[in-house]
Amino acid sequence: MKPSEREREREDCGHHDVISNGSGCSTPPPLPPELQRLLYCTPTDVMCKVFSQLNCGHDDVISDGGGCSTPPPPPPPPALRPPTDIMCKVFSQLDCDDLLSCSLVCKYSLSLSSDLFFQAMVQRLLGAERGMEERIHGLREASGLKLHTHTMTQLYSAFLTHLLP
Amino acid sequence: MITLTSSDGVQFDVREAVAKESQIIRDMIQDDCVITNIPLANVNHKILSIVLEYCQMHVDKTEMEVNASKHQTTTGEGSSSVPVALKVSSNKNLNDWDKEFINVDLDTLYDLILAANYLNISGLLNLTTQAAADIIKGKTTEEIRATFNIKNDFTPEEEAAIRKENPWAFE
Repeated sequence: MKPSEREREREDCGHHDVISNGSGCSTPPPLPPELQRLLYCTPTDVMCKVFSQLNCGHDDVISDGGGCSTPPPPPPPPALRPPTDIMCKVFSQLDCDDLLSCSLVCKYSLSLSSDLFFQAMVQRLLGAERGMEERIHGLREASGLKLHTHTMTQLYSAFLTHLLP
Repeated sequence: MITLTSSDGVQFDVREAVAKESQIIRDMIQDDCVITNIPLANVNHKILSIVLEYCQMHVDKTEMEVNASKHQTTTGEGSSSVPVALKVSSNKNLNDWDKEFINVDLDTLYDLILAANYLNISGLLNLTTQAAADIIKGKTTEEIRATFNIKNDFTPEEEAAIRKENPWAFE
């Protein structure tokens, strides 16, 4: 589209601040004042009731007259609801056997458990030792490896090579 | 007294000490941000009542210990071993109570975790996350999926690859 045509289209739609992509004005025209008043002054619960009676426009959805009956998406499993830091807190209380079971549950649990699994494995092998966290952290920095399950073997080997006498 | 209002509009009147079990409320009170009514947008009344039951019990137990300790000091029976014994017994009772308290269904447990996190109640957060971990412990991958209703989103190839890359781990 030539610049002159674009300019003309902007003038046509009356919205000079809107840049068109060539398919016409992308901003809907303003609502009539009566409808604006209805929308903004009616209490929310009343509006919800009104909207629930409207057809959603999905022809494949069977309506029972009480509004759109599109089934709501299923809620996420309870286990995946808490934020990641909380899930890490749960996982941090598991030993490596349980972390291993968790790692294959789903991709999300794999991402949570792989890092903790490595730490648990090291702690099991060498026992809880003072400064272990710092040493593991230092090893991560030194190795430059991103912690994923498939790198755990490498990291584990690196740990044994570098830190064990 | 402080009024806590749940996300669904139910009000709970609680002692300030009970409300202050929550770090976030403690900070609000200390900073003079709030005087009496605190709306809690992320906790419904069912979960808030359970959280407050926990806070109430822990505050009561702490106060009982303090009072008993004071009583020992004022009556001169205060050999150092008595308050310690009392405390140990009290802690044992409280631990038993906690175990009973956290014996709830999974949905409630996770709502409690979220509430404890939102309200920043460290004791309750530790208790609930430990309970969730205890549910996982000793279960196979399939059992965990079934317990928590989690769908396996690995393709068979991905799952096989993980097992193949770390055979030592899956022995």
